[in-house]
Amino acid sequence: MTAVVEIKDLGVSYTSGDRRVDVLSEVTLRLERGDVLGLVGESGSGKSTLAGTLLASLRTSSFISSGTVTVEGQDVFQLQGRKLREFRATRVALVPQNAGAALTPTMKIVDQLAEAFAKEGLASRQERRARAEELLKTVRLPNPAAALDRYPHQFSGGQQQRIGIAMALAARPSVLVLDEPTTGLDVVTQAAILDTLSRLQRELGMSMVLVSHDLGVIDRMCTHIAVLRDGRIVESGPTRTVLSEPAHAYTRGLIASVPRIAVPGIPPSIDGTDALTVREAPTGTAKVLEVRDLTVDYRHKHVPGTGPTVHGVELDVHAGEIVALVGESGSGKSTIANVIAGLQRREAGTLTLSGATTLEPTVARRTKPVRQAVQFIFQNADTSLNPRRTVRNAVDRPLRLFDVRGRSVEKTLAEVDLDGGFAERLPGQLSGGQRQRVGIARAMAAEPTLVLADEIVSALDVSVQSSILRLMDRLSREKGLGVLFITHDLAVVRAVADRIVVLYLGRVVEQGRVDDIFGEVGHPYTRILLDAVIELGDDHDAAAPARQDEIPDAPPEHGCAFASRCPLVRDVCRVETPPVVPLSPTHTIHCHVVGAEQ
Amino acid sequence: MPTRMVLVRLGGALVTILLSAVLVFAAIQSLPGDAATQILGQNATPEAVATLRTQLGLDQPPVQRFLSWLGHALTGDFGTSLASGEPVGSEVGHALLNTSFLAAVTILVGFVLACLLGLVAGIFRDRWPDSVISTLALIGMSVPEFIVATLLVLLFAIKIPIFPAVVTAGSNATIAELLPSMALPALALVLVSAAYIIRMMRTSVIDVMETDYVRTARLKGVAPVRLVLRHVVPSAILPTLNVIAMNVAWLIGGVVVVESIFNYPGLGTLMIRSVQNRDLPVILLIAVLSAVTYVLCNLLADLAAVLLNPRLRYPRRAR
Amino acid sequence: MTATARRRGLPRVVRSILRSRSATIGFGLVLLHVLLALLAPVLAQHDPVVNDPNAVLQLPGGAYPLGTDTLGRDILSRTLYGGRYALTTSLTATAIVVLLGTVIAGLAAFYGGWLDDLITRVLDSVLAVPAILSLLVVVTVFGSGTWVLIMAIVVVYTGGVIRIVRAAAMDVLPRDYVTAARARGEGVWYILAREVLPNILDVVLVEFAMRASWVLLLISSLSFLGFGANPPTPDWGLMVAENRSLMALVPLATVAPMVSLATLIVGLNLASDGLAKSLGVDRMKEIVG
Repeated sequence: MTAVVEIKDLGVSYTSGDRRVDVLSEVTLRLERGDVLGLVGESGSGKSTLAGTLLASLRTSSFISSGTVTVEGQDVFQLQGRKLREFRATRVALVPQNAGAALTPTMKIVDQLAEAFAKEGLASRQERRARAEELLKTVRLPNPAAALDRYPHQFSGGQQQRIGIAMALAARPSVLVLDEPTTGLDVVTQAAILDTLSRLQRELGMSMVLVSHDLGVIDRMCTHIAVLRDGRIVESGPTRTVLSEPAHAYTRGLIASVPRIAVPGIPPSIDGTDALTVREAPTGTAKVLEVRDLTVDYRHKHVPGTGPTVHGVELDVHAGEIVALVGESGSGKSTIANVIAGLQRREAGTLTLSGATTLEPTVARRTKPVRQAVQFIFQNADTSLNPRRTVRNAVDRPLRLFDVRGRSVEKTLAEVDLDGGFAERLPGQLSGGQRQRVGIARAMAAEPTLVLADEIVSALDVSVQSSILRLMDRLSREKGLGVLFITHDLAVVRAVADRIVVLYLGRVVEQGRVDDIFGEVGHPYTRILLDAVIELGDDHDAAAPARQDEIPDAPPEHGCAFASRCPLVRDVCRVETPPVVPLSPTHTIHCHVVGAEQ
Repeated sequence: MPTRMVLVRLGGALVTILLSAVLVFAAIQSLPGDAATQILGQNATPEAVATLRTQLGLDQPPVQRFLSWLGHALTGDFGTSLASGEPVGSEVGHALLNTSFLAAVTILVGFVLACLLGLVAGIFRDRWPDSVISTLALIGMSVPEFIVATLLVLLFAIKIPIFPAVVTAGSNATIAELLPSMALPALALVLVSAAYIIRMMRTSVIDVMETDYVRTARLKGVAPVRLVLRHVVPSAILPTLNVIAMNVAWLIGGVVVVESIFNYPGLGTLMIRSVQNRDLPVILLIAVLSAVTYVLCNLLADLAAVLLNPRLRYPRRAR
Repeated sequence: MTATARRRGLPRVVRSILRSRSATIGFGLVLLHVLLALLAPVLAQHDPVVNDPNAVLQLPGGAYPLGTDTLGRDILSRTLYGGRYALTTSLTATAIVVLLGTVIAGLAAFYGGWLDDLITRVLDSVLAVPAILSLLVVVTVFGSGTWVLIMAIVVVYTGGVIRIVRAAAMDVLPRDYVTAARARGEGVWYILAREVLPNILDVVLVEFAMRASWVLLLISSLSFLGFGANPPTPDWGLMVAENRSLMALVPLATVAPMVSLATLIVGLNLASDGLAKSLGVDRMKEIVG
């Protein structure tokens, strides 16, 4: 077999002030025709930079400090001007991470695609349109003929990613480079895109380089894998070998720290100092939050055929309990958290705190003890702390505002495993994980009874993720804290939650204990979600073909919100609101069909 | 085109124009002394002043006067100039025509050139074409109009006398008579207003050049000229439209210094004279006209943005 | 974390300004003008406003390094004092404009709703009338003079500041740390002063530097037209207007104030460019709003 890509002793650096910073060093790799190589590593490992070098693309201030990148015998960094353009137009194509930003907003899809196969010299407009349509068909974009004359913003994220792939395929490249092609997409969409990609790879016999932080995706897609850390390859080889018998301690730690549905409990830390922790749900503790019949409506006026954004949501959180609120983007899970925090108005419903106090709809109308009792932890640690104020300011403010006795900034920081020295730092001087700890400390400073944690680990690397999950586990047990844990990540839910509430388009479809939800029987939507999850060590060949549909924009006015996508749908589902069916004392689903079969 | 949006904007525009008229009316209302004393001079007898005031309708309460002005204005009657006794409509209209002509020359020559220079500077960021253009732009925005105009007169009318220094034709001159003396004022206006357009264009070109989609187009092997014309310019021109609109509005309503230096018979010159004479009807009409221009320019810029930006043209996701 | 990130606020900004040649020139020019203005009483050998019938239209040299004007006043002294006048009036006016604008903008952004609508609508109407017309009207209503000039500038320019600062504040208000403060039940002043202001201070600073140059342009233009400083105030715009017709005779009487004005404004522009760059603010977006 001939090598399509050969990277020898590659080094990439940039200069910052007087210092030289190495992004990649001593990288040597080989890619045979038809191979799929996965580049895996945590943020800052240099995996995207390495992928870019295959197209002779570097960030403006970076330069090659050693080595060569050869694609089909051609040293790519020797190419310039017209030759470089020709190389990029025919040999290697890139599918960028965020296709929404990578498609030119002012150009029609057909024109952008035509640019990519301009080298074929299709003379007439008809021919070009036909070729573009054929490409869109290949990537399974719904209604390809109509899509040609549309603009990028008129498509959903998943559809944009498909167009991005079509554009990359247009040049019939020998190598397809994919930079985190499914990051930011919902699980169902991700599964569908990956399905399409591997089918295309087989049919066209292309070589691919896939950059991902997700070991499950790499395991699903790649024949070979290279693990990067701090710009160096720590281990590489055939995927099965590396993932099942990792030779390097870092690889072992990385694999072990990935949360998995198949393995309940919080995964061990990457260095192995903390072992797998399986939570025990508290029993018989008091209710700290009761939500009844919650409705939120974003619509300014009634749109025929659509219903309110959030409707009829009911859930409870007990002391010491972590309740996961799960759903895809647009399911209304953050809206619900905002309503509980008093940051957003509700149209209907009652919220009761600790069984006695009714939560007023807005912060302004809540008493100080109520505001103190309900605390929020935000998704994005970058924006949740004021960049101009020190950690001390952030943690001290709730201490003073709520007049908390017997607690200092240092003690609060210690609770989240940060030493007192961090108090004088600004958020810009902290790592992502440290920032999230400060966010947690700010909430804990108020000594709350209920914490709303909105996607608090989604932006973090897996190694940091497990330590934050471990922290939440400890705090909830030690302080008897009720936690409403909002996330889209089912593996994280499996790791940390005691009970789960599954949302679809602002409606609860299923709720129960963690074992109930991950058990055999449940709501068809939950089944689809679970089937779509791609995990390390799954039998990917045996998996059912992925569903190619996407979540609609708005819930329907009548019937079951999931009816339009449900495999078990019946006539009644489109007309009547589904009944609440108990499958066990701890497990309920909202379904016309599954419940009836019982 | 979303008609609803246009209607809403037009409604807002009308409110803005009306409000500006009210503001100017109220401000001039608080002038110590009024047109009557101004016309008759300090030594006039109180009886004469009173008679003139009644004649001019100045003895009525302000609100009523504003409403009656508004009523007449809506029928196209803007009253008579207190100073010259001529109909305000024709006096202001004539000046507006002259000013618009000067503005048109400036826009056609200057603004197109400015956009091109900004584009070049943005593409060649931090290299010599950029340094030259950016330095010129900086000087352009730093040197006051009266200095630019004075220097131009010194250079092209006195040292090398190729253009007339001031307009000698009277205030009723025809466009043809004005044409030769328009060169220097137009040049001064180009120099002063092009700077902001150049800088905005440069900034937005740089912004667009750094987007993911331009990087993707590069990695697709798109040729440089096509890259700039198809991928960069359509997005880069959008923010520049607003600066152009602001400058056009300024060219119609704000060119006082240049017009007065060159004695150009436009709105600016008329404005100064009317303020000196406290000629309320003239000032009011100039203010309203300027406000209309300002609002119209912004509206046109927004409409152009809608035409250029598919995200505004087709706001909904395809189903 | 890197060493760069640990360097705090001001020294970092100063260093980054000094690294840029044009920013250094800009701050140098402004500093030079400030020094000259402070030292004017020492450097000027004549009274800038006293006429001397015996020394009319003197050529440069001897007791009059830059010559004298038609009224026999020393051009060097007038130019030096002109700097004093220009700097004090424009900086005072700008300071008032920016302070007032920032407070109103913060409140409009925070409360939103009808208050915000009202403020934006009135603003738009003020901005729709050409600045020069509003200025002329205000000056005519209240008579000319320094304080009237400053007030006129406040009327005309506060709107622009409100627009920019409001946009900056609107950008900060939805951030999670402000949401956290709201959820804690913090009051409006705490949120604006402690959470929002520190994060828009860069915008406010750049706005100040930029407005200062515009205000200077406007004041001198008004004086040039005869609506600004009253004679015999040593104002640069006024000096140009007084001596323009005699350019062949005493060129320096026009050139000296022109050069002073142009260098000060170039300095302010370069300085605000440098400040904007080192603070990471986009100056062009500042202009458009």
